[in-house]
Amino acid sequence: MITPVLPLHGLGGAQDLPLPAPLAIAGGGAALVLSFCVLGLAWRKSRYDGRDRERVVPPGLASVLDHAAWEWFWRVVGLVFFGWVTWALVAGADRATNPALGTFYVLVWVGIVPLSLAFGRVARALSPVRTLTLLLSRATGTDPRKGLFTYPERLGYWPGAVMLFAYVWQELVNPDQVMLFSVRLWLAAYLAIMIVGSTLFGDRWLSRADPFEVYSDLVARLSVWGRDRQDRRVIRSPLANLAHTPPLPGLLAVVAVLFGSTAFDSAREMIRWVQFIEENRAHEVLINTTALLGFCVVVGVSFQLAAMATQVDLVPRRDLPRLLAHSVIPIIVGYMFAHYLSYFVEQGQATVQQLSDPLVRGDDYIGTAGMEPNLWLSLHPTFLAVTKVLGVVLGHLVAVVAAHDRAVRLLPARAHVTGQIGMLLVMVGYTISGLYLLFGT
Amino acid sequence: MHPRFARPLVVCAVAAMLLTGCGESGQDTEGASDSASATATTTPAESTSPPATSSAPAEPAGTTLQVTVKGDDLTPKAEQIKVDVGEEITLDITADREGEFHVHSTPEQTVPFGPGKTTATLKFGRPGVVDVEEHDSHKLLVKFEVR
Repeated sequence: MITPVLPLHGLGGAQDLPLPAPLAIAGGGAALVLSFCVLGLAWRKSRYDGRDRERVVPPGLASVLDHAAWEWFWRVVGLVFFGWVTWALVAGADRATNPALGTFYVLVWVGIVPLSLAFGRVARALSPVRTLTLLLSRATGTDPRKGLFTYPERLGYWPGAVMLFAYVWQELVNPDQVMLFSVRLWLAAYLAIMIVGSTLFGDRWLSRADPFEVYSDLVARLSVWGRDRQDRRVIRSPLANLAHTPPLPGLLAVVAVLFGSTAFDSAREMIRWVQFIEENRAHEVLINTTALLGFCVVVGVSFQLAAMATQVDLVPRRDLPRLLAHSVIPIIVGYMFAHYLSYFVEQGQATVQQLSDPLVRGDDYIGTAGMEPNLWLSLHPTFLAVTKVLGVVLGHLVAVVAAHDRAVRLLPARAHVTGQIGMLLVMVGYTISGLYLLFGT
Repeated sequence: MHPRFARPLVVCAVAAMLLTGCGESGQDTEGASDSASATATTTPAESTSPPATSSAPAEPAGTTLQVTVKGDDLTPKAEQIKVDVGEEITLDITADREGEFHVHSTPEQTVPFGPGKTTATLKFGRPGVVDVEEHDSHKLLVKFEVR
């Protein structure tokens, strides 16, 4: 009899060793040095903002990518995959080896990052919810882009931030997270909210409120795929693409939830936290929820203060946080990489193996049931540790460059260097805290 | 300095810093991880069964852990212990009830125990952090750091 694993460990399995202290310190030091180097080499004119360093995708490739058949091929793939996993979710045995769990918590959530970096807005292309709303519109003869009302643009990404929080709460706090009923409930609520929202506001709702689309769209800003002003497909340097992130209201909230939740995920593994929770077991959910919210709020507020402390007279001060928030995206990607790399590679392989047996009764429909996960990463902890630190430091470097480039466009010439110190310190703070958390667990 | 040349220079400086940083930490883990691969692939399901079975070829000397279970109170309480890959870890459990420990290794293992004394052995085939929890009380017994 296999009992579902306890919430302390999500989907179980051994975790990574903590980063060795010298490596963590070297990483923090490198981040600090790099930040001041970028500041010191302060270029005076924005290199990525508004300068169209882009190349239009060759017509041959563009006609394939824009073809309806290409779009619908991926929509069908997404829908079939969703159907398969739903089958496992609804009809499969309620055990920790049910592939619906691994898919929901590992393949989709962590997989969004590498797929979006490589291919752009993958969630949008594969989203079963979007496909369902498109089919619904076809069936009723309506335009999917139009709902009963227009989406109020001053809401921006706020609904997405709330839905993302709902996801990370489910992933990190909910004690029933590995029980199938809990995942079914979450997905049912998610589907309802998405479909009702898109009926009310058109499919723009999905781009603003669907947590997976919002997450994927933001990570895709670091890919090379973009669209120009004439809405043609272009290939751009990731930094230029990042600079084109639409500075919508709620962007900072989304970024704060993504980073804060990953930091909370590390923090809750620390021995002192575990002991504290055990002593207060009766209020475990309340404490964890408050802590998760706290982490997100700390990230959001610290960034907000640092951004607003930047001297400026070209834009209103309160617009600054969302004009600078895009620069946290590379830090998030670097930290997600470091935190989840081995989990994704190893638990991901285990999930692919489980997908062949959706009802958890010994079937092997796609032939992967006999596959042995390759545990190379875990067997080489030094390589893993160095890769993690390089990922975090690289994410930090890209973030500082992006923030500097935007600041140079917004700040008056006399304040180019001094005006950014606050932002710089906050970003160094994030990176060093991230490294500390990877070292301390 | 022109930004174009400065960036690669800075990246080299960073790489140098990191390499010095990891140079110190690198040596201790390499030996252990290479010898672990053989154990990991040949025994895909490392199940434990009391009484202990030991078939350890030339492995480091084992660790013994005294475990007591009194109702919902466990000793040790969320202790962190460093062990080697392949090391034999003996759990001497004295309990006043039935229960089981979930060992969150890859793959997962379970150590059932009953009232009285139980002995079990654990062995981890690869580096990582393995938590051992008691099923009914949801409490963390020990965190093994396997190197």
